[in-house]
Amino acid sequence: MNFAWRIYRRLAQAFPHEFKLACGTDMMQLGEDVVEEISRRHGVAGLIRLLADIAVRVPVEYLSEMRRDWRYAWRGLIQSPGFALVGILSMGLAIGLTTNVYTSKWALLFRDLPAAANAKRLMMPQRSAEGDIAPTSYYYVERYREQTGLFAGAAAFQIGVPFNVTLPDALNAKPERVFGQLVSSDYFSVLGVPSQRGRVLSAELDRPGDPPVVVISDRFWRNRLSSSPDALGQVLRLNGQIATIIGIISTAPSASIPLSYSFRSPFRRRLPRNSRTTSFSNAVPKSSCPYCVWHRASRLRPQKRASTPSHVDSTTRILPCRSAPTKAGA
Amino acid sequence: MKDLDPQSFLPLKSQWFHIMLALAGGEQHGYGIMQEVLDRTTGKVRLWPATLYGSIKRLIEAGLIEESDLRPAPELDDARRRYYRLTALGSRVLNAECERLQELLRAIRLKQRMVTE
Repeated sequence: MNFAWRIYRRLAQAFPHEFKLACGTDMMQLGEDVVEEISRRHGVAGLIRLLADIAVRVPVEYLSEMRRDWRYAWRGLIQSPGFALVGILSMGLAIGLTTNVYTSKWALLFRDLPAAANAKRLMMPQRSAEGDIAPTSYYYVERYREQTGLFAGAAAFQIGVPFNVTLPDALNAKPERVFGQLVSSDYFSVLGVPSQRGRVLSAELDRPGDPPVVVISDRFWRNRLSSSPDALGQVLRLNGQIATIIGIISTAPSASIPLSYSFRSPFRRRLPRNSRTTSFSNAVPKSSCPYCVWHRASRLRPQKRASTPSHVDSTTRILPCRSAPTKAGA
Repeated sequence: MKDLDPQSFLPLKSQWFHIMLALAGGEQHGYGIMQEVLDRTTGKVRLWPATLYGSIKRLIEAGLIEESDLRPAPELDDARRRYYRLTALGSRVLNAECERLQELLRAIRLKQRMVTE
């Protein structure tokens, strides 16, 4: 009984202030008066009923007080619309600004890395001195690729590369401009893009001295080659160089880019090997911890090469690679 | 409060009716109301403390009862208790509710007679 009385007293103290002012003392007094009688007449069931009654009334009274406050506030606002307008506008602006600030902070502090932690593939551009994202040198891509404990694979690509393309049935005709991409030989395996027909680039097909090869998109095959069943093995003239079509891809993410051409092609050899304008890197991390990836990737260049352009610092950024870059269509 | 129509309160909630009926005989405190309801209904209706005071608070807000300044004789009084009484509006509402219930009772008896005949 003492236990029930203690609970009753606690619950009675939990009522809203307004209720306690009006009836709190009386209800406490009444509870003290009846608890013994209820225990005697109804036993434990009566005590449980007594406690249940007061436990249910606590939230009911709070809701009642809240409804009364709302009604009072609503009447006050209706009676002075100017004040209501200023109040609503002020609160709206304050909530909007606060949300904006905290959203920005959230995105700045937390958004990138947890997303990167969940990403299966990472884009690893570097940051320029101005803070912009800059392409990574192929030299660094090769260093990433060597980190077999850190990355399952690393590939390089450069999008938006203009090609003067002459089609197989009109090799002597005027070439047309098509924007494709230059990719490293392991690009398709790193991204997990299979071929629809033929093969995709691989290390075996892209050795030094081998004739240039090209992979075309399904869209290019349909629109430019009229879905020719003999497209595989035919040659395209790309920027004056003959390249053999070895495969057609149809699945995302590279299918929207009409041409995928090897880095080791003659076209590529015209570019300086460590040029910062040549490639982005795309890596598959082995570690699920983005901080570990970032920390270890940042330490991959113990000696800074003399040929490193001065406008690029040594900061590596890690971005989740949700989709492959698509810039040009066939 | 005088402008309020008693009919607008009808039908009264069961516990409101019991409390107002207990106050019809004069001022009462919470415990007295509870005991009278218990006695009048031969123990069938018990107004539990939180329900009782929740209803009393709403009856005061509705203007049907009010706190009474009149106290019983000092030897019978408990200074900690508050006494309540019906307001004029409360009396009219109680009368209206009693008439409504009497009409209902008449209809029930008529029906009972028809069933038994």
